[in-house]
Amino acid sequence: MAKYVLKRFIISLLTVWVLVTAVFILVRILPGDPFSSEKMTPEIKTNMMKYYGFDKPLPVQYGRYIMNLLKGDLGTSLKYHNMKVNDIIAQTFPYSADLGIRALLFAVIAGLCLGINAALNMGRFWDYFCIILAIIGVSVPDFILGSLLQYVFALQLKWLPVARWMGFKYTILPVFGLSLYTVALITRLMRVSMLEVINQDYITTAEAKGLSTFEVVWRHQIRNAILPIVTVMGPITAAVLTGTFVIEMIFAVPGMGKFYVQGIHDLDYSLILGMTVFYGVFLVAANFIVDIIYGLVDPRIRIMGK
Amino acid sequence: MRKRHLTLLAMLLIAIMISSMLTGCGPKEQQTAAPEANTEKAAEAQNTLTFTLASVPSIDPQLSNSIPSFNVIKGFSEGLIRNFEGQVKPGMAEKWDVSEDGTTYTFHLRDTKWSDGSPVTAKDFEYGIIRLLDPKNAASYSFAAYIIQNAAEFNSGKITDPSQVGVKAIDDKTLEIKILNPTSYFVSTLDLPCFYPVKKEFVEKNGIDFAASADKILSNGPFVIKDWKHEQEIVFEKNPEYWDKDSIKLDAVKILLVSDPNTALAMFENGEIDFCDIPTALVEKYQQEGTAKVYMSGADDWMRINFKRTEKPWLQNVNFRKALNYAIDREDYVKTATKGLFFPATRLVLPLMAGVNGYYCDEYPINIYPTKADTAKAKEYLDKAMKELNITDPKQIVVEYTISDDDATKLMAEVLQDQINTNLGISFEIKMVTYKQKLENDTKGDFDLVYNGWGPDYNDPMTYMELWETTNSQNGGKYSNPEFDKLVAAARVEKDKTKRMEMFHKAETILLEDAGFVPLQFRQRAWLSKDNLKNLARFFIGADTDYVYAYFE
Amino acid sequence: MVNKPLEIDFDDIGLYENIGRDKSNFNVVVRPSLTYWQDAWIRLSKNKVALISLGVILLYIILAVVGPYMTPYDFKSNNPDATDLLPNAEHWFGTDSLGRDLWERIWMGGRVSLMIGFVVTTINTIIGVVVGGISGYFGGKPDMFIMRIIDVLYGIPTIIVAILVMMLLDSGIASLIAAMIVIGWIGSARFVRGQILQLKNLEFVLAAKTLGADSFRIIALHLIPNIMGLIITNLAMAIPNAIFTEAFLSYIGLGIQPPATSWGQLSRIGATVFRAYPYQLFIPAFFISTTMLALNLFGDGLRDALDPRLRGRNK
Repeated sequence: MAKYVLKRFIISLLTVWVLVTAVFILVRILPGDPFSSEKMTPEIKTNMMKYYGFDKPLPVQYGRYIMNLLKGDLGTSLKYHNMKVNDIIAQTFPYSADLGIRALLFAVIAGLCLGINAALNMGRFWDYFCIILAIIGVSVPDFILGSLLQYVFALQLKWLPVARWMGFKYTILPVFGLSLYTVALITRLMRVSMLEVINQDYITTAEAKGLSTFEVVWRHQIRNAILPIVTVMGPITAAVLTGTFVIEMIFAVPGMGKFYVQGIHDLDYSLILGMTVFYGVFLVAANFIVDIIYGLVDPRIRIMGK
Repeated sequence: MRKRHLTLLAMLLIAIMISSMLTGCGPKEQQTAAPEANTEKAAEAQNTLTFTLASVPSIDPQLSNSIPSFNVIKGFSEGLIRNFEGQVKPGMAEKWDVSEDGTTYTFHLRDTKWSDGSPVTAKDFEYGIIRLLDPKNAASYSFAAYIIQNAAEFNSGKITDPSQVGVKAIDDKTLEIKILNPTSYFVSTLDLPCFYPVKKEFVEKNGIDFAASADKILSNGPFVIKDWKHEQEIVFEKNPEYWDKDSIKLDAVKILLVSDPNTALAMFENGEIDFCDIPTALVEKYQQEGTAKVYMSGADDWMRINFKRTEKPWLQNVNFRKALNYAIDREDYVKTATKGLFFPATRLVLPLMAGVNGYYCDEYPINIYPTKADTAKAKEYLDKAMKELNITDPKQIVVEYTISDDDATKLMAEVLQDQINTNLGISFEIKMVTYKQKLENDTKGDFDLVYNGWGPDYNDPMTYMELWETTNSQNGGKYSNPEFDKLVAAARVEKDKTKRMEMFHKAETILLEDAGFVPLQFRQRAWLSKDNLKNLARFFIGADTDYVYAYFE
Repeated sequence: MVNKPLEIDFDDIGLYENIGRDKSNFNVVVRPSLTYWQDAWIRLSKNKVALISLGVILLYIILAVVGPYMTPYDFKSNNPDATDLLPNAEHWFGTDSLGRDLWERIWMGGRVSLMIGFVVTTINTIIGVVVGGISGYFGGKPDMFIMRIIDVLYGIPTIIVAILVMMLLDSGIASLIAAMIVIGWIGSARFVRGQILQLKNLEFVLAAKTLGADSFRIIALHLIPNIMGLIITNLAMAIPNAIFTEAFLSYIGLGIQPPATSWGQLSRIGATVFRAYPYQLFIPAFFISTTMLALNLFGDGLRDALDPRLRGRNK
């Protein structure tokens, strides 16, 4: 087992390293450069390149970056003078995470409820109702949904604030807008899963044993039906946490999404690389943990040493 | 039956769980330093100006290079003078004199203090300007100071001794600046934050952290900067030490960072902010309601033509370029693409630019191209061009128009495309690239036509005219006319105001008759503000929002 | 000797009477034997919702082809005097801010969106099946290698990948499709790999191996057909994702070159003016939403029909 963990760990590190190197090179291939602007002159640009060390040859820049990376220093932003990338991430990530986690929680709970309900009332009104509700969530792109929510609930009805992230009621619209897609996804997955389980033999057995409907549903159906959802939670979590940009823009939430997209627009190499490393490590770490859990849970994997 | 009830029950239970969980841990109720309709500060809240800016990357006076940053810096800091609606008023300098030959300015400072109690001295100004020009600091706005003697040389490293630069603190209250040529508008340029004073000891003590947060910068302006949550909000409070504090009616200013203009508009309509810009797409609605205020924002846009693109010989043919200029219907273009908000341009210099006594464009009118399309003339010039180039089918003339990837620009380009293709019958294509790529293509000369523009740095036609000089780094299309260069160079050193303006007029005419570019529009901006908000100025040079003298009736 | 019944002759005991057996009940065909696909089709055709959805999609496809010819207007000619008109008899969907007929633009845009949706998804699925199949079946080193590549690719910001691809290939629909494929094949590959992992240890694979089938035969003829139902369902539901992605890419300006347009672009522009002209948002949004709705419902119906485990209670 220890060997398995070690192997996985080394592979994870390698993956992050390859990712960093790839992005390091790729951003420099992107057309344009970080310092160009409408009022730039060649002399000033030379000064700026020297200031940020861009006048050194590429391998030197790369080496320096990796050295700093190992120390945990992601460098300084090229656009936001004097702001370290670490600081930018530290200041903005909590907001994105806050938004994302709330959306995730809401999506999972609402999705499970709707999905279970739909499955138990299959073919009847409630089933179609939940499905249509869920599917509307999947059909409307988030920039439309966000603007509509803001317009209807904040401007017209004045029930909720227009934007920013200052208290609980500020979170309602952004969270709802962000989570709707995932609610839909989970609803449908859960519904199908429950339906597949319903037809299994062990359900018939349980009913034959005389268990009440509640016990059948709760102890057997839901537990088994939830497994496919769990396996898909990984990518879903990643998607939600990295997909907050549009909602952040519309509701002026000071999260990472805005900096990320702006960074690409401005070709702020340090910021792009820094955030990519951050997200990358996040994802790879998540994969690593999942692999470990699989290793613990499934003896076949351990033995065959995947 | 029971199934349904059970599931409903389960859902209720879970819903209760969720709501208790969520209310228990809401995002930390933000305790900002500024009033937020809280009890003891409720009175002050009435006299707080709240508005939004899109993004404030930096508040370092010498290192900032964006208009929103300038708007912020002018709130808590002040330079030798302060520009309000184009009028130069004394700032840190009480009065100033100019030498006979017009190249030496002497500023006499008044007694004022920084927010840490120390006095503002001429040395602070000298240090600030040197800091701006020091190549080690890589300040992107250093070009604004090139008018000072030896500034450009110091900035490019040709000189390494800062004491050779033409700015010197004679004593604590006297600052001397030597410029290259007599320049009537020089003093007004000192309103740019890059010329503001900074205290040497404070900057050196904080090193790279200087201006990184609200406590790492000193205020000497109408307000003191109290709080800065990056890209969230900035909070000012009235500065009791400001020399002109009686003119300042506001108690506090709160700036919220909101990048989506539609969201900002929504916040205004909700009463959360006191004024906001109207996104172009919605301007018509407010103009019809009569609530929209409009001002010329200074941006002047055109199509730049690439004179070095030999694979497309029609670009080098003056008749073809003229045909382009006659084929565009600028009135329709402005009406459809910008809902009539922008002003059609048929010349280079902005209508608001100062002339001898009034506006340059009024004193020196130019009527070469009409604002409506002249399809007959357009066809005439096109035919001439085709004959000269030996082309029979206009569709063979392929022109690619490079624009950046934003909605407004795309719309404008589509209108132009339709007009040109319909009126000339050529193949006018649109190439949309990322913003940075467009800048690169422009600088490298990798384009046929590119959408380009300029905002004025100071109130004189020179700010536009010098862009077309052969040697100017902005001249990406490499337009070159020795007559034009001669006139502009002469205007640079000419002392007589009228003679200067005449030179500009001649040069501008040459440029337009060469069809050196295709003028498109002068931008205007529409905005809304609360009825009781007075004396808020929008200006077209430098910082575009002057709020320091605003007040609520 | 094996099946010797009890040595009791019931006739002798006198308790039971031999009434014989009615042979007409043996081997009676209760219903015709069906292949997997026939069975699925029958179940699908009973699903009204799925059929209606299919109908809607086909309707849109037909309109996308034929629609632009139904009105005399051209999708790119500006008409400054007829801007922002509400839908009326002449302009069935109204006009946009340049005076262009929206019916034209919707259906020209529909061509682009639908085509991109189908093409990208199909290619992604094919790539996903190949890569996922190999990765899932062989496991070990190839699997590890492929999964790491996927991890790295996944970590690179989508926008950067899109810009790079479009930079290499010059703008246009081809490069947009290429960019979307590079971004999107990962999901498909992961999905197929997951399914293969679940199936590869089942008995029928073991049986095939024992009979001497080589790996590719097993993958192609045994594993893939078994998950084909799921793959098709996934395809149907991935098409809306492709339409979404195209809208997202045009949100950040990497879409097709003007004056060409797509539903994503139209709804995005609509979002900027919707406070003044809501129909300019609602019309393209309606088509995107209903297409996605129809594809999703159809996909659901497909899955219900193709999954034998769901035959259970609702025959």
